[in-house]
Amino acid sequence: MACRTFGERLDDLLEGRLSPADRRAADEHLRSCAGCRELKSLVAEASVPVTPPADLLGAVLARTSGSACGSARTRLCDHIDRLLAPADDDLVRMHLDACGECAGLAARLARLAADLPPLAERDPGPRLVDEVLARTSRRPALPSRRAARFAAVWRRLAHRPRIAWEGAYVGSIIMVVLFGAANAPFADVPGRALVVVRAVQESLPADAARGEVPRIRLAVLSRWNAARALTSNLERRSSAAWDGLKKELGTVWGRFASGKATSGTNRTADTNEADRGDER
Amino acid sequence: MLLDDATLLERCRQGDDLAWEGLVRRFQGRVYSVACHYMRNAEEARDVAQEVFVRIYERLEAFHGDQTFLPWVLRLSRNICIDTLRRQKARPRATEADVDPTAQLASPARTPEEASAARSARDLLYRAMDRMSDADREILMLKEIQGLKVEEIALLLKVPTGTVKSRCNRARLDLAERVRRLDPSYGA
Ligand SMILES: [Zn+2]
Ligand SMILES: [Zn+2]
Repeated sequence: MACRTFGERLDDLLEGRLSPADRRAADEHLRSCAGCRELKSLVAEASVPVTPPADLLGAVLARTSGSACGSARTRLCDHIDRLLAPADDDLVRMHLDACGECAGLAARLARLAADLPPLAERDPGPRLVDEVLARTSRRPALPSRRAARFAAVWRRLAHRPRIAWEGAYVGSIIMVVLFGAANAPFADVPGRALVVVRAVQESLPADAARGEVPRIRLAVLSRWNAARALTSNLERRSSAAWDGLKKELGTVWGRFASGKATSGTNRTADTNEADRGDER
Repeated sequence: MLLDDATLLERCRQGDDLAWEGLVRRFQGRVYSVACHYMRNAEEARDVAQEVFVRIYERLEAFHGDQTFLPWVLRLSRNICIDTLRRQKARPRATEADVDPTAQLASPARTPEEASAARSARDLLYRAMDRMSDADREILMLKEIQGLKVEEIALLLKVPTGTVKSRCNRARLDLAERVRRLDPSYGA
């Protein structure tokens, strides 16, 4: 048998898989060849398991990639949350089997994952519910969304410094339109009201005063209808006077609207953010 | 749980006072916990929690059914806390961290031993978190404690989802280390 053939059959020889004839041939070669005897004893020794020095892995890592603990820790939370891909999870497990420090950290993280969610609620004491109910439920029924929005706009408007002046201005225009102008719909209503007051002051019999009431109501009603007809007539004809008035009112309304816009930006960023959050 | 949030909310919107009381009871622990987190003061936290519920009441109409109520409540609570803190920045805080960490609501312990163990775990965690940076405490509170989704927190804090994840993982590792220093046997 040649040295090369012996080398090829060495594993089989050591594990007892050679046929009796091949085995005899191998033994014969061993007796005659010192090199193959040495080879056989080396291989036989190496197959006995030997524990590597404890610091070998660390020394190799220190001279190559550096400690793997940092890399393990970046994946540790996902490992606890079971978010890792199977291969990554196996790698982390292998590291944890070997690294006591990371294994301890993993155990603490696992415990935290169980202990933190119960902190989501805290007992504010028995009074809070009552205090909240006192501040909410006793109000009249929940205002409709549009009403709430109108109230909010009005509140903002009312806080503007010129609200009184603007209110008076608009009020005056309305009064002039309704009562002041020569052909205004309610031009002579105050006069009729005076008649009633005078009538009461002159201590007319009560039922006589009562008799006046339906007539006044009728007069106001007819005036109201006349006013409605007049308005639609005016609108249809688009008379120059009415356009001018509309322009006046438009300017005032423009000021209101711009005031609404600026007061909207006065609120803090976070409250606005909350609003936007609500709209989502 | 007897009634789901959506039904409870619908009843509140219809003006049912009993439903409103139920809603306050259901969410008061959450709102108060968030308020304690930001205000670090029991009395102020109670005031803020009250404010939060009044605002919820005023906005029941504005809340749409297609979003989840809890994240909305938590976001509102956080915004009101931050607004309040910003407003009181001028005047100094009277007392620091006098929230009673042993007060609890959601600890269904069966025996006194279990109850006291849960209390001491809470106490330990509150103490460990107390010295963390505000950003780390906040992200732990939102994600690990209140259980908001990464996407929800990203929207709330206006940072990318990747940042939320990595920041939260870092905070968890930091907390684990702080807890170990306070109690080496924790998790063993
Ligand atoms: Zn040989
Ligand atoms: Zn390690």
